[in-house]
Amino acid sequence: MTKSSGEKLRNYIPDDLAFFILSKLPLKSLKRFRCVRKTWFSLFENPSFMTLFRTNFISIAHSYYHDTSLLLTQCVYDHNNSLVISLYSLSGDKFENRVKLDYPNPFNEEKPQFHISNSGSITGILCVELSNEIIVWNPTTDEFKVLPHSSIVDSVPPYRDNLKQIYGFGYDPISEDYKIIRLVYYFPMDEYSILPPGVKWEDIESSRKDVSYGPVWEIYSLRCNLWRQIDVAIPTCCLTSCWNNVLNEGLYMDGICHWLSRCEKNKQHYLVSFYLTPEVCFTTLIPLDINADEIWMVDRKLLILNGVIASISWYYNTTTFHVSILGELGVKESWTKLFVFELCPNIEYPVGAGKNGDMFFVKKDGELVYFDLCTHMIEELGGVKATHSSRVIIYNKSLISIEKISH
Amino acid sequence: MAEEVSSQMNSLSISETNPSSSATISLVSGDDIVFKVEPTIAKEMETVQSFIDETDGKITTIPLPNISSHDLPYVIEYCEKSIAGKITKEFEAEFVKKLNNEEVKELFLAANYLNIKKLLDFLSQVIADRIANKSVEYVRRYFGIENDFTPEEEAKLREELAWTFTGVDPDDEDEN
Repeated sequence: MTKSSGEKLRNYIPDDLAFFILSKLPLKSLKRFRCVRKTWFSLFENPSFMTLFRTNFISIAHSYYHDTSLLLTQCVYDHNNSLVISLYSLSGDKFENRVKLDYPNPFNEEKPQFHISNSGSITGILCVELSNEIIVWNPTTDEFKVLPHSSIVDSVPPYRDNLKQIYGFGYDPISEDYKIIRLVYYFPMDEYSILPPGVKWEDIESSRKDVSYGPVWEIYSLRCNLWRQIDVAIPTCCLTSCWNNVLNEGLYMDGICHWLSRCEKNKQHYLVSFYLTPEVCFTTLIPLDINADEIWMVDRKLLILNGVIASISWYYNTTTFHVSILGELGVKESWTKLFVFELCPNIEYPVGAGKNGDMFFVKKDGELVYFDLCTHMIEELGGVKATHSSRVIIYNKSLISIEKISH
Repeated sequence: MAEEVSSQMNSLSISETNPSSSATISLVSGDDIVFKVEPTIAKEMETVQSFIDETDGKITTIPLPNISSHDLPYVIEYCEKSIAGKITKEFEAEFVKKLNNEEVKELFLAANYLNIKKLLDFLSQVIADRIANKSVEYVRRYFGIENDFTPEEEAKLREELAWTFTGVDPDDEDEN
């Protein structure tokens, strides 16, 4: 079909109108269309366009948040200096509606240590470390399941102490299974170790020469109700240097568990992405937003910002925060810095993101505040305390039966 | 549809002979079809309303040379829903379902010309969603843009942005 030149002209969309459309595109499409023409190439240097893009980025309704509410774990120290953890459901424009939720306490502890895994709510199911056990719990139906212990057998040589750390919890749509991935670190036993039943100190002494203390990855499958060891290639620089940093720094999205790692040697931060099927892993370098000779002074946290993987970083003990979003897994160049903002000096660190542009921070006095990326307004929640182990979780109610999955 | 048009033609002649009956506004499309609308509908179209205001309401027949008789009924339908407060996600999805990309573009340009912010905002999101996985070539054609890069410049840029060229839909010839 040929068109007259008049019709062609009529169908030309001038740049100011085109930018209105482009500001609503996902990052990857927008970057690709920089190849369209020269004025589009420099869009990322156009301040008024970037303001439009940022506003749309955090305000366009994303299906990720459809029918969701917020859960928050509050952590406070009581007068005996022991940690008391409570779980709240938050709603309302200013999160003024707070309902305290009861969580399972199958071991009838006075002050159960309740930590929701960093992946958050997976189709309405939470993975919770409860004292020394792991449970999966559906808060809507209040059904929960205490997970079996791992494949590591303590009562036969080699005898080692171990520390187990959950890296991710997620749903694998291919095998229709819920999986947990964790790392088991080994240590030599010493006089403080609790000896396995029936094992004498002499047995430990004699088995010592054959012992490997290399860490081991384990995966739990809810469908099989089993832990098994896996042999995954994860860059060792991540393994050796990140382990005191990994807590809090993970998330789950679309069948992949992600967590942060750092390598002191190359002064690099990594995003580690673990596919639940097939069980493989790869890394995406994260450019440093902040010039720092000592990378360990730069703190970073992963967030989901309106359905997109984002990173927030800041120099230790400062309150200027840099937020970048990821355009494509595995591509370092696809990280794009969208927001830089400075908060008042009594802000200590971020604890998570809510819907759209809401971000939660802890103040130095332990009070929780939220910051609206759209308006740059900061407001106290009033009376909600948080610590490093607090979580803000996007929660979607579901009637999924845990019992049915594991059978 | 043909019947509807002919009745609108009739009403055009009536309104010409009887200009004092200003209860309705006549919108004349680029291809000279008259659409009679309530004044409240005209209020939704800022361009039309300011035209009426400028002439103190004396002129109620408004030529819209940039808008075709194909597009105008859609614009009117959207404005009617908007006044009734019945713009829902379901209505919007249904509204654009029957429109191809070229038609959406024409409506978008019409909404811009008439200065209907809500429709403009909605259609810009529809276009963004529909072109998100399209090729650079498709977008050039769609926006009516001439490539102003040299082949060397473009090749270099495409190399730098190679990661953005995965998952692009093949161009559909029918749409152009």
